[in-house]
Amino acid sequence: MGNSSPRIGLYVGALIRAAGIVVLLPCLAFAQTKTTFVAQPGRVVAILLPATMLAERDVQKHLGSGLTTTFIAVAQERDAGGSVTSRIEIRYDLWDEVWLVRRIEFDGREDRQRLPSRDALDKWWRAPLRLYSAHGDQVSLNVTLTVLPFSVAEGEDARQWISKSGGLAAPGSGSPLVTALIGTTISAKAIRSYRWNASISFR
Amino acid sequence: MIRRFLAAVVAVASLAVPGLADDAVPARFFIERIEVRNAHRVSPEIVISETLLREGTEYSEEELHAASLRLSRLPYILSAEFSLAKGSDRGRHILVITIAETKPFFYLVDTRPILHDRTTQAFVDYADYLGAESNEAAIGYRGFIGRRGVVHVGVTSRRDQQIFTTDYSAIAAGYTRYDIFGTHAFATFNLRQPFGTTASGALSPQLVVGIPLTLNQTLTLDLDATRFERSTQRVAGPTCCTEIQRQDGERLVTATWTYNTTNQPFVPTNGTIVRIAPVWSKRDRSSYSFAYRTSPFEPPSAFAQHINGYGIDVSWSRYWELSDLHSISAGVQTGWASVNDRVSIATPVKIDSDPTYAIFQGSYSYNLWHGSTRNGDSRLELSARYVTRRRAPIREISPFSQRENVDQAAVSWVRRSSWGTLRLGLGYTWER
Repeated sequence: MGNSSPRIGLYVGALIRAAGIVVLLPCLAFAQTKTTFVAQPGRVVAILLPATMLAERDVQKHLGSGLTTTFIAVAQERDAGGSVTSRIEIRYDLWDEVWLVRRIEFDGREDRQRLPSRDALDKWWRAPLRLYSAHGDQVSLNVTLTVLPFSVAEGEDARQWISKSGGLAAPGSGSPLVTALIGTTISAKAIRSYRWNASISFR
Repeated sequence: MIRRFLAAVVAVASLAVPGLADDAVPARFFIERIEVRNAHRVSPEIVISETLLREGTEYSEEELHAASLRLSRLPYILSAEFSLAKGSDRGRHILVITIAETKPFFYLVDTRPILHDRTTQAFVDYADYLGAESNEAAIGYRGFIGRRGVVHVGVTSRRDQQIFTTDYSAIAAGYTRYDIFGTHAFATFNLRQPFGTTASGALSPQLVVGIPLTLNQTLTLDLDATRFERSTQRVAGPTCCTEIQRQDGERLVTATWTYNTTNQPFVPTNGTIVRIAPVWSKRDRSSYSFAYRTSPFEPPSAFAQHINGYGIDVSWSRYWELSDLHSISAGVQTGWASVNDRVSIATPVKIDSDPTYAIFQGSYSYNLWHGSTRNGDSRLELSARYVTRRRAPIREISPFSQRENVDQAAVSWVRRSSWGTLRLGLGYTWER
């Protein structure tokens, strides 16, 4: 192989001794912000996001950047493969001094508004975000909320690419893996992440 | 009355619809000025140049995001945050880029001993992800000079998957000039001293010229003239001594087109890298041999070898960040070459071959870092790859090709900080 090899030879004995030095410390902790899940008609699960979330330092900082801050909520039923995604986008227009907000729920229902004040934004934020439609009278969900800088619109090409690779006509159908990829592939480094477990009964 | 009401509804709707339509259109921002904050060592001009954004131009969020990713891929910037401020007039904006710099002294230690199932020896692999640049420095110092210049000294390495090119490490000192003539192009001139090969190297020049084609595409041309050895040796003969020149050098030309949307230079978790790199190499060695002497009093035979090779490497890797915890990747790299090896010792020998290779790789990584990403990150990586090589046919020797198929699995821990990138791990290889 080749005209000369640059590789450094090591012997197994030395290697095993060296391996003992390497210590891996998985120590990731998600932010723990309290939230409420509510059961809605039609066995729909919604989440009530607290306004304090918008006041957290990193989130607040990006909200004031004049660029879009995107919140992606992924709900996955425990012991089931599929997941669904809802999305909130918030951008402060520096010149019009209004909040441009957009909410896309798991079933594609969209709400787009121009809010004149931060108070109006907080009020709009506290409205329930519909996350999931359950099949039975009881459902247990793992919910992840990821805060991203920039709009995720530019990530659509990736989603379409994965969608085509998986032979899907639209997100939300097809194999759970591809659905998960489409639902959760993100294109920017997260500002913040939250994770909750919820059990909701519709009886 | 009803007609009036309907007319009013239409009028209100006609006013409302443009507002909604405006919001539906992806936002575009007129950037009248770009401001870099938190730049202590890095020149703000270089940061602005590397965004490829121009003042007085309108950009979408997608373009601003691509520019931020481009900055994040620079080895001397750990993170770059974008925000907007009001400009001088309505609709005009100031783009504020707040950066976190890396230290001027840096390291890139990427060591994963690979155990082999048929030998007790292990090898250390470097820069082991597909699409990795082959000239990454292992350790060094970087200093900014003037508004667009960077000097660096360090230990670099050159390695690839082609068998006709030479892999080696070198001590390098060089200068990079960014934004040449306002074109965003850059040029690096290095002087390198190879080491680690069988002979001690001589000072060798390298020139790398690159030009960004778009925010995600770059074209680079790399010219290397490496001298691995240049010496004169005295060989004892029947009467006295014979002076024999020993020379070993390689000229290498590589043109690389890169499409890169990844979020980091060394440990990407998201994005795509595509590299297409035609390469041409010419290596000349001259020395002597005692093998063909019939008596100990005969002078040694002259030995010469000329290897001409050209080929192409193509790699594609894609990284998906499934969440801030989990990331997966898939990649393939393949290459083809045509090699003419001429050895002249006593009688000339000609060996031609067309080697090929392919590497298929998949990996999973888990985020171990819970601090701010502005301070770096840390991940646990599991990777598996399948490597297949066809080493022949060597047309003059055998019509049959030799194949080598290898499976490899590795686990590694990666830590990226303002000081550099550390990847430690262990791998195992099975031969099929």
